[in-house]
Amino acid sequence: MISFLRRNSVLIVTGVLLLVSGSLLLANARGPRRVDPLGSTLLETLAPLDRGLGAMRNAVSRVWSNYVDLVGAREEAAWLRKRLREVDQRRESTTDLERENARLQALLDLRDRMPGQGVAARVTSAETKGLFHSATLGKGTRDGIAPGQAVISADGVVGQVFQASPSAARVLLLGDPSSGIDAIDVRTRARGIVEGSPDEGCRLKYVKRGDEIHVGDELVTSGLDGTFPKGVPLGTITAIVPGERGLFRSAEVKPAVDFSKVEEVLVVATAPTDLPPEAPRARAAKPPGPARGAADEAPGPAAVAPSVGAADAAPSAGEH
Amino acid sequence: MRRASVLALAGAIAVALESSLARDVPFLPVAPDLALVLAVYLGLHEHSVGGAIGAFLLGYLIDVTTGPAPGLNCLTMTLVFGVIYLLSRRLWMENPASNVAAVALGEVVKVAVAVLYFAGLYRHEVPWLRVGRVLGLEALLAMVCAPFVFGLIDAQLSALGAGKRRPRAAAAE
Repeated sequence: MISFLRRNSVLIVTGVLLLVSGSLLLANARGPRRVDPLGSTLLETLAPLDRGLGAMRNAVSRVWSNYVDLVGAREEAAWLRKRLREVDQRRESTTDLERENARLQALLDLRDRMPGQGVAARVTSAETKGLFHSATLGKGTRDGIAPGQAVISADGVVGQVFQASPSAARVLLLGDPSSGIDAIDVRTRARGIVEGSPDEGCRLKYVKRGDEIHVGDELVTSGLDGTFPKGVPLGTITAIVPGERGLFRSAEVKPAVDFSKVEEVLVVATAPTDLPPEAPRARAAKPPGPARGAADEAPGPAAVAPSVGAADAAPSAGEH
Repeated sequence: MRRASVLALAGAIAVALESSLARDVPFLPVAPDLALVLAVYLGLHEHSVGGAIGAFLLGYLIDVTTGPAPGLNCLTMTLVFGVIYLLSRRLWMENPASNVAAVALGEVVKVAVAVLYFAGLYRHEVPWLRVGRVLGLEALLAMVCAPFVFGLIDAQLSALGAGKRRPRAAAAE
């Protein structure tokens, strides 16, 4: 008997365990109450292990989720970067076009206000940092540009054409030391010559000692030099040169135009005349102070340059 | 003792993986039935009262941690152990193919118990399609995992100097 039990102990124990299992299953299947004598104790014993496993599971899950998110985020980021570049380029292009449009519109307005007609041209290059300041325009004699003509922008005087070929022209900028333009103080009507300077900026010279000039006064072309129309802004007085003796006084002038940034200009074909009252800058600085005699403001010869069609006013696409 | 410790640790890991980690692996539709694989291992290699109790405890552990009905997994694991034990006493099952076949047989036993449970004791309408799909996938994954699980346990036992115990039938030869 004992040997039988010993020989079949595994089967006997297995059978007993099956009976226990079956009983447990039946006991739990009959009623709603869970019959599990050791369950709660075992559950309590396993709770720390379960918490540890839960934490491990969360960690693994987090790492996995982060990895998946990272892979997705990387692809998304690459796509978004590409998209951002495209949008940036488009926005940049649109902004450039808007700015150019505004500049051309201002130039067109200026040309419309000119007594004669001018030639709009694009500045293809400009040298403003050396001792000599000049610029090159994308139009030349073929378009009616000739040496001696005035070059202005919507902001004010740019310079004067000193050389021209059929398709290009060179401009002596106002800031060049060899440049000189007859100027008038908008407020006091004091007159002088605005010259370029090797330093940055310009200088107002030959102002009569008795004439009144102040820092902040705006200067415009007088129109008496036979080149520039009257009333085109030249710049603003930034300092009076102190301690000068003699008949004249001088002042430092900040040009109205930033020569390094000017892109489109209007070449005034020939003889100067009065700029209508809507002229830029000059309009805003209508003289509040004592006005000089009308003779002082008299325009020069009223000859007008050969007119150039309106279609030619804007720089052609080829110059972009 | 070392052997029992290794098997107990394997059981704990199997239950932990089955109940926790494996369910969080996104590409696995169900967790592989590692506890059943272990019960089959016990049936193949632990021809002792300890093996039977081990299988029962393994089932009970699952019942306590994840099982919906106390006793169901106890019954299943003990029955699987018993069937495999009886089979391995009469057949030579010491190669990977027969191990996988033993796991498949264990799965058949499990499915039979599950069907009986649902048919006889479950008080609601049985979602047979879902039950069949889950059990089928569990069986498939268990058969895939079985050679690795067996290999790991054998390797651990060998490393601890508690090598695989030869079944009594084979030893008698």
